[in-house]
Amino acid sequence: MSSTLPALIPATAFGRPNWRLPHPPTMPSPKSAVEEFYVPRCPPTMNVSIPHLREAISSLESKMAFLLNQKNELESHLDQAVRLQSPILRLPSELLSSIFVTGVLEMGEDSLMVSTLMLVCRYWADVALNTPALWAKIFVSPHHSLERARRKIERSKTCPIDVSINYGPHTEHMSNVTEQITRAMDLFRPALCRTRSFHLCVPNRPQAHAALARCKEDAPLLRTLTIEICHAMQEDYSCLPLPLFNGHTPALRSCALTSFNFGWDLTLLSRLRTLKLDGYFNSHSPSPATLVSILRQCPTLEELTLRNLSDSESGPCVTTVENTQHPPTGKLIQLPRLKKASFHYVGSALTQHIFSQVTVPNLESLQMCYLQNVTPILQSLYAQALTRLPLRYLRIESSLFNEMTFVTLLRRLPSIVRLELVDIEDVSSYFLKVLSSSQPWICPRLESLTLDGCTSLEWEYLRSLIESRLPANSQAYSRQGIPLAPGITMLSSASAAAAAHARSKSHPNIRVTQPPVVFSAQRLRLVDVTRCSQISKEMVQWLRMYVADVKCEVTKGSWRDS
Amino acid sequence: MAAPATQQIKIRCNDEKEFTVDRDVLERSVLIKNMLEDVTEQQDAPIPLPNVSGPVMAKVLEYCTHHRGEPLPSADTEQSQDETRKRTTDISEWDQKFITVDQEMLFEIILAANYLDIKSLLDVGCKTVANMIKGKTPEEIRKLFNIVNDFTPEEEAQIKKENEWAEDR
Repeated sequence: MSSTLPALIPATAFGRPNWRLPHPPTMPSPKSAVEEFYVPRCPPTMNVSIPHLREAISSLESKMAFLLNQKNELESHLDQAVRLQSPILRLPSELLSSIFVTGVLEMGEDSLMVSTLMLVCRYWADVALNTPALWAKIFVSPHHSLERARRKIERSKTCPIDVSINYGPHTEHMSNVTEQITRAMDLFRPALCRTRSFHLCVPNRPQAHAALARCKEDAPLLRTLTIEICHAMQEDYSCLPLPLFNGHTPALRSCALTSFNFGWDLTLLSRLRTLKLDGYFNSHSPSPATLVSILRQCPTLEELTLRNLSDSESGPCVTTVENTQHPPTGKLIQLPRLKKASFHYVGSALTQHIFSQVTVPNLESLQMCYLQNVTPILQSLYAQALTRLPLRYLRIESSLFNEMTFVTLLRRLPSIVRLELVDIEDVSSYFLKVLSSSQPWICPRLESLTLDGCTSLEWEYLRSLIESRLPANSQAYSRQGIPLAPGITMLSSASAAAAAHARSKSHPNIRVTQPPVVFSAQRLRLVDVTRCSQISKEMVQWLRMYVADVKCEVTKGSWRDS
Repeated sequence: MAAPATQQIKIRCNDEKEFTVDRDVLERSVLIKNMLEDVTEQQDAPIPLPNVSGPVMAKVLEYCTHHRGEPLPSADTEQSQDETRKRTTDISEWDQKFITVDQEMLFEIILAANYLDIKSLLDVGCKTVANMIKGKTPEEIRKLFNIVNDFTPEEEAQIKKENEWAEDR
């Protein structure tokens, strides 16, 4: 038994009480056997003090409780005093909340993490929990749990939310993904009325439709809608029951749809500022009239991107809407705010029809890639440029065109700063010759010229172009800081000599005491001659003397570092 | 013809310090602007500002003087809110120099900007604090601002557990 007792209490304490009163000094009298062995544990006189002892203990306990309370109170005061020494804790919660919002939502890549803020102290955690804007970006993906999404929906209270459901292109565990997406949509459905942006990226069309079939409520705050179906080519799937969001998306301004078949419902695509369509082929592709109808509904469009759209065949989803709601009219569509247009692998019938139907008086950026023949588009642009076309960036890639038409258009584009031609066989040295001519200057503000894969251009004309746009008193760029391989020095000096000779030829009076010629054309700051096999390494070296940024193919060997 | 003289306004801080300032400078504060608009007659009595001390007010006035004449931020429309979201924590060079003060003064300026309703100054203050926090661990933040960690280990573990998944950005 003693082994189970606390070590500090001797076992004897539980035996006979050692505080027994001594026997009175009386004569011993004969006793029975029981009397012989019985020793009372407590003398009768002590029994009366039990209540007192209990009372004393109770009193002590209450004193201890009081002291403990006092101690806690003092500790809390001390805490508070320490806190008040920290100036940041003098800020009211709404200001701390503003700082959190600034740090978390407005710092881009360097943004603060809510979890970090919440781990600082209870007050900060409390402020973060009561700042709904911090919880408004809600993600569901293989890396973002539904539970977390549910928590964020609750904490965002009535704040507008940004929803992203992103399962990417991965097709593993397909049934599980479908279930997750469906559960996510069930979670978001009650919050659709305060959804500000909605992004859905799923592997295939049935999953997209499973998700979007649940978007039946109004979305009055929805501004941005992005739907991406990663693998749409293999499937054939019926149209989605319409309309999405009960047809009520009055704030929708940006729409990016990839392979999402929605029957080209014009109620969804109206009053947009940004329209991006990608991945529509054959029967799913919009007809030219449908596209024009969409554009007609978006007079304030600022950005148009069409990618991977083949010319349409008549299909079940295309026919319903286009001719019933907005029959095409002969009137041109004015898109005065359109600044950026981009066409990548779009059927020629679509592009030509669009450019024949719209006017884009403020277009600043145009990309035309993999478009077969773009000559009709260039002609349309030329017709529009007769009045005004402030185009600053033009890229044509892997497309055919008539060089004369192209050059004629360039004459009408004085604002061009960046011109990119990639894999263009039709462009010849004539184009460079025209750009070199100062009578008058064509594209005088041109700063960046890309000739990637344009192998028909001759070096002499390119050099003339560079020289023609050099300022009168220009110097070759110093290349002293660049480590050169052996042999380069000689080449550089040879190039320099050639350049000096060329300059003296092109500006014979420059050494004579005449006022410097005032050039109205901009000096080229970037030339890209990647995959131009006709441009040798020496020529590239020469270019680098007069052009700040020269891009060419990186070759192995001693030229690698040049 | 001489240009009309700018009206001078007197203000009194909570430490009885008084300033006489051009009206257009003071009107960077929406609070004072509204006060002045409410008062039709010319008043000689200084405007009491019971929540701002003299040294802090001097700093605030330095800011208002530098930014005098700039358009006041408009009310938060839907579009301006979007733009706010997009903007970064860039602070102009002058503002950065101006706000390089000790923590005590920094938070006093923020409080004063909030009280006086000077949105641009409040923004500069908030961005500065957010930049101070940027890239720091909770412990480093506590050290920076002299904050006591009052979490129990269980509470701390709970918050950490909540954030086991990837941070939403």
